[in-house]
Amino acid sequence: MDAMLADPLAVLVLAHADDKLLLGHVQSDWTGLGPLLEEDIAASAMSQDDLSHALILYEFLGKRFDLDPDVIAFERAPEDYACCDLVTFPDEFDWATSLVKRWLVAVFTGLGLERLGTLDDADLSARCDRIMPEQRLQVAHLGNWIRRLGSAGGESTARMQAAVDRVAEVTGTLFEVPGHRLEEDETYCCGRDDLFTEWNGIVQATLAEAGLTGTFTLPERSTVGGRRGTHAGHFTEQLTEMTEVRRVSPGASW
Amino acid sequence: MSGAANPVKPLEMTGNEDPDKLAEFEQRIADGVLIEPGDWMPQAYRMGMLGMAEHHANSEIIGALPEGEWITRAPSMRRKLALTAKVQDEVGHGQMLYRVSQELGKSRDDMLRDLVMGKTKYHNCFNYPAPTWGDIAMIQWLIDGAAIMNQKTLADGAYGPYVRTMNRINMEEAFHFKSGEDMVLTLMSGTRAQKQMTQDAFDRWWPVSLMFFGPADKPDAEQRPAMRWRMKVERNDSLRQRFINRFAPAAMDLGLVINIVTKDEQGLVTSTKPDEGLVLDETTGNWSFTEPDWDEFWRVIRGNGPCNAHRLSLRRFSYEQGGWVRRAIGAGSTSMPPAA
Amino acid sequence: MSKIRERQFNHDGELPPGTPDTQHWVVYTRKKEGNPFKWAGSLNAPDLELAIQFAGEHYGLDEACIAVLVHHADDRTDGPCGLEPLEPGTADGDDGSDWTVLVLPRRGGNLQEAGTIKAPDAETAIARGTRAHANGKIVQVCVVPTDRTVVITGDHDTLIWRLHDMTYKFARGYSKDVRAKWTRIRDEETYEDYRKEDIHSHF
Repeated sequence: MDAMLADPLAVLVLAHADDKLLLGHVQSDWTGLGPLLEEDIAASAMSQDDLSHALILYEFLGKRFDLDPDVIAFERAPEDYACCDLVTFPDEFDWATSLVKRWLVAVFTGLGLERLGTLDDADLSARCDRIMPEQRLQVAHLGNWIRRLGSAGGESTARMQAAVDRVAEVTGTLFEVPGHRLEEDETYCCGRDDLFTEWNGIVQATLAEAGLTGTFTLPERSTVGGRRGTHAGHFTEQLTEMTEVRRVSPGASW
Repeated sequence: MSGAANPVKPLEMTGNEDPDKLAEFEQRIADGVLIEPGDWMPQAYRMGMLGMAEHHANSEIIGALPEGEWITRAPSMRRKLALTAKVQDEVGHGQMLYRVSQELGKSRDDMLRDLVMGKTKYHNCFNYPAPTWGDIAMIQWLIDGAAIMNQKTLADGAYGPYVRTMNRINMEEAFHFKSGEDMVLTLMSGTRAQKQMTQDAFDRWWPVSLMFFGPADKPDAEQRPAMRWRMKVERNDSLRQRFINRFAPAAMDLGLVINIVTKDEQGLVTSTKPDEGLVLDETTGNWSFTEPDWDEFWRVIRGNGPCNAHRLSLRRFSYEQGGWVRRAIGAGSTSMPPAA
Repeated sequence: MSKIRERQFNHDGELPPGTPDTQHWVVYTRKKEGNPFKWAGSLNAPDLELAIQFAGEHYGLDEACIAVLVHHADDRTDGPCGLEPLEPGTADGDDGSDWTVLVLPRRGGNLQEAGTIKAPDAETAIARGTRAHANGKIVQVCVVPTDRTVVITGDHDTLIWRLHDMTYKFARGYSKDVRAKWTRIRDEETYEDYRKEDIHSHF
């Protein structure tokens, strides 16, 4: 485990995998409670995709560092998770917040995995290739909803704008540099400024079509937040809940 | 999961159906011919099928709640994925079954509203709590096992659209049951804490499974419309016997003890003693058993079970909370023509 | 469980006003190359775009699937459903526009795509469809104007079936483990007796 957490590439992969895990974890909780049956089913399919993508990436790390993917997913210390505070931002079962949050993350992950896939590692590239078509599907599906509900007018537009405003402040956390055990260097920053510019371009174009506005800023490179293991309080709650059953009998098969 | 084995309102003939058409309809059913939506059918049959599919759909939607509580706590990636998919299936089944009733004349919105306002019912077994991960294993093994047995007979019913839907649903229930079986097997091969968790959950769910099929039918059930019209094709007692014959020996082989239990108002077990009435009759191959507490069954179905209020309250929260999305897409401001 | 799920809500009074059901769409799926589209289910959606999206994310993920066909329920005209297999009849002609022909193999069965014919209207399309496809094995012919159907093919850009391991949502993903675990407890014969009750064809 220590070897993995001290490896720059592994930490970069973990940042995406942990985003996917926690996003899937929070969103799968909506299954059965969505605003309409058809979208409840679709959103649940996409949270299964997120969890599956996390697993694909944990399996990559598991193979490389001889670890059980479930141990990577469930048994790290809280500060060794590299997800950002946006993915764990509580939506309080407000569909607009859930939607906006998932969409902002999905666009980011799409761009991030595209870059990850170009790194010189055949296994990792193959895994990113498997994830990417599903990621595009998610970006399209969520973007469609942002446009629909944003441009619907009245109550709907107001709720969507409120949701963008609600998450705007934590959205930059997506771009924090991951890994509290690493020295800062360009390798795992992975072209942070370019990434932000490209992401913001896509996001702003869709927001404009939806009739919504949002201002997002790239955090300082030195920022210490979720990606460096200093998580918001709600992350710890979510992790505790996620590991509750597993802690009944540590080491047991489930 | 099935809702149809619970007592549905008894069907009464309205008395003013054309006797020739009715005779022809009944003859078709007796001949094993399935009814398709364009066919003539008595009003009581139409209303009965509508109510049956609606009750079943309600059960799927409410049935998603107890298991949904455990998605965030599932103990491995695969179990987390499987449980999410399982609960998602229930929502999908609900959607398909509401569609059957929509075609018979009631809007989905009206059905969802009647459900949350307590005007219509859902299967009784979802009014019980699922306080541990062991309950998730038991729900998928016992309750889904019972549901498959029941729905296999429903798929042998007479109403085409319901039969079609049942066949699709059963295919997915097979996954639920297998995954439940795998969980029970894993837990009973595991640590002492896991085995205890499983036995405790079994104590909670075994009596609920026996009640799953509903109380004994009236002696003349075969002559009454529900069975004469093949809305249901097997007696509750007969289904229950088949269930026990299959699951009692399996439970014992797994090392589980089949107990008679008492429960408190929260549905938690307060005392257990082994069911000594559980004996295999070698000649018939049937296991005898102690009848579950039918007074409790009626109490729960009338609304006074451990979780009735909570289930409806969460369902109503979901209905109200999502209203703005349905209003936004229903308002037409985003619509396109019906087809490209 | 999450806090919302734990909460006991105090709901007072009446529900907010309801919303009418949105449009009714019918969905068919093609499992593999060369297979006909078969009925998968129905759904509600306000428009075609969402109907396609919902169809793929629900019915397209129920079983392996390479394509999804969607049409508005009102666009389908159903011929009479026979008690006996339909006779072909004598309708002929090849004027008019394209109609997609769907046939019901038996009462209680699933509609499946049989082909396309030309006809000036629905009634003629059903008659010609019956002539073309009644082979002693079908009880009903239904038709949809082909230009009112939409087919989505799962490929790189419009993914339907997923690329990741989906065995977690199918019985077959557990069968081997379950057998191995049972046969540590029970002999093969007892296990087989127990398994008999399962829905064999689907495992």
